Amino acid sequence: MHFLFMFSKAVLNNPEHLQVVPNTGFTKWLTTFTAGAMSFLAVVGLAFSLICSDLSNEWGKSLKNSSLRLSAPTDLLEKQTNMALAILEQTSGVESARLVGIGGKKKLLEPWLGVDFPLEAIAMPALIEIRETEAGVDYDGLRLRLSAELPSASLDNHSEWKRPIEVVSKLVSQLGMFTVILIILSSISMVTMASNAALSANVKVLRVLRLVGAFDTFIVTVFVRIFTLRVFLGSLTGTVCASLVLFLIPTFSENLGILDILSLEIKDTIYFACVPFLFAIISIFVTRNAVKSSLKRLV
Amino acid sequence: MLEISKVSHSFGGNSVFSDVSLSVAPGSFYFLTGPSGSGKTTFINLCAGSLIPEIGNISVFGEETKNMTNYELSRMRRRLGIVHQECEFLDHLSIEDNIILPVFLAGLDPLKERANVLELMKWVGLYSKSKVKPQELSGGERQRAALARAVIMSPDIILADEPTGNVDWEMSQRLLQLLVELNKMGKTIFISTHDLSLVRLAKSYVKARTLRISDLQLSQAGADL
Repeated sequence: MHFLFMFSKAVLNNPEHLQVVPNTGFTKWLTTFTAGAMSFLAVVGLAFSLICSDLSNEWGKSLKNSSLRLSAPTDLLEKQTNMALAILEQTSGVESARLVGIGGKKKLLEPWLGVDFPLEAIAMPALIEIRETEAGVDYDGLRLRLSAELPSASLDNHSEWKRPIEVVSKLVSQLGMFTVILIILSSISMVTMASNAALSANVKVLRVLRLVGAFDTFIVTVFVRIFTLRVFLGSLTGTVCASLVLFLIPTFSENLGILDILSLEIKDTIYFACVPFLFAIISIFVTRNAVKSSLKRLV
Repeated sequence: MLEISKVSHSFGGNSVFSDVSLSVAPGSFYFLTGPSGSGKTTFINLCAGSLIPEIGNISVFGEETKNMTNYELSRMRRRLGIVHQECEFLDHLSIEDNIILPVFLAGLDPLKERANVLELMKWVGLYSKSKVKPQELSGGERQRAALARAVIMSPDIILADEPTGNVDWEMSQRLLQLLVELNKMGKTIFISTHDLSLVRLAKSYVKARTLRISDLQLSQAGADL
């Protein structure tokens, strides 16, 4: 609560206070630019993490499905398909079993055969999509039953390669989070260095204010206010630029295949919107400590 | 008003003062002399609470600087007018804004006080330069501006460290006249200087006492001063 109070005080107070600290010079741009650049990187890192997390969830969901292929002469295919569906209905762990129609098959084979391939003209095996319950299916038992009752059926169990993919996707997601943490830590260091550099250029201001009887709390507040405002504005600019880039990328490219799912949603902007506020809060603490230690060193 | 009691102070192991005592009465006029490096600036800084004595006590307005918090030290400085030799200002503000700064910090309305500031600037001969930035002023003008800033809040004590250090004799006389005028208004004046001719001149206007720092001690200067 205290830092929120400090932040609102820092941003909203009487602008007349800003006059005491010069609002010009290279240090102003140094602080603003550093906050902007680090925010840009933070947003890109955050987007990377969110995309990895979405990808991991997407893979997890799609790998919950298994499929059953049935190859048989055309006159027997329908009968065998109905038998397979009946067997699956009786199998525990099967949430639903659905026959994939010609449209679904076309979509599946589109990357290899193209959009206009006349799939209806050739004999295609029947394809059944099986959706599992949380408990899962006893695939060994199902395979045994199918080999006895429907030898032409072939069962593809995705769970065999689901686990390593899940591990990889979790690792990728964790890498994304680690990247975000690293960017936040380096942002703190960068903002600290920029604030200290800006403060070094303003030691004379500190001396003069002390000389004329300014209270330390006043000096800390004016510096926190102006530095936080610079960091906030820089960070806001960096965040807006990064968000625009990230949201515009998918509109420039189409048919990315699996990459189609790698797009950001509007809800992600909530996370991005937090970045300038996070930088402002970092700036409040960093500047306050820097000014306090500078005042301690003053004679 | 200002009590210095058995103060000893050193810098980096080198003693500057040893067992120095002094009692400054309200409305008095003091000169502090001594060769360069003898500790005049350190003495002024100790009196202003910018330095805390290692041994002994300094009481300003009845309170020991050693026991003051930063808040109390700042509150004390508002009752002091301090003029340093370097005359530091906020370079991005005009001279008028620099002089009005203590008023602003005291929470008074700078707009209401603007007339007083302009009056004060007339008094120090800087009325025509009110909108000028400090770096555009000459050494003497900066000294006068620093003096105006020091007295704007009508402080009880004025501590001036070499206020005529960077100016010619004519300007020194003018600055001295200003300080003498303030003393006649009842202000306590404490000036550190190495300019003995200034001390002699002041004695023709007011009853000024001269102290000399030498051999770590503070002593009354001879009758010729």
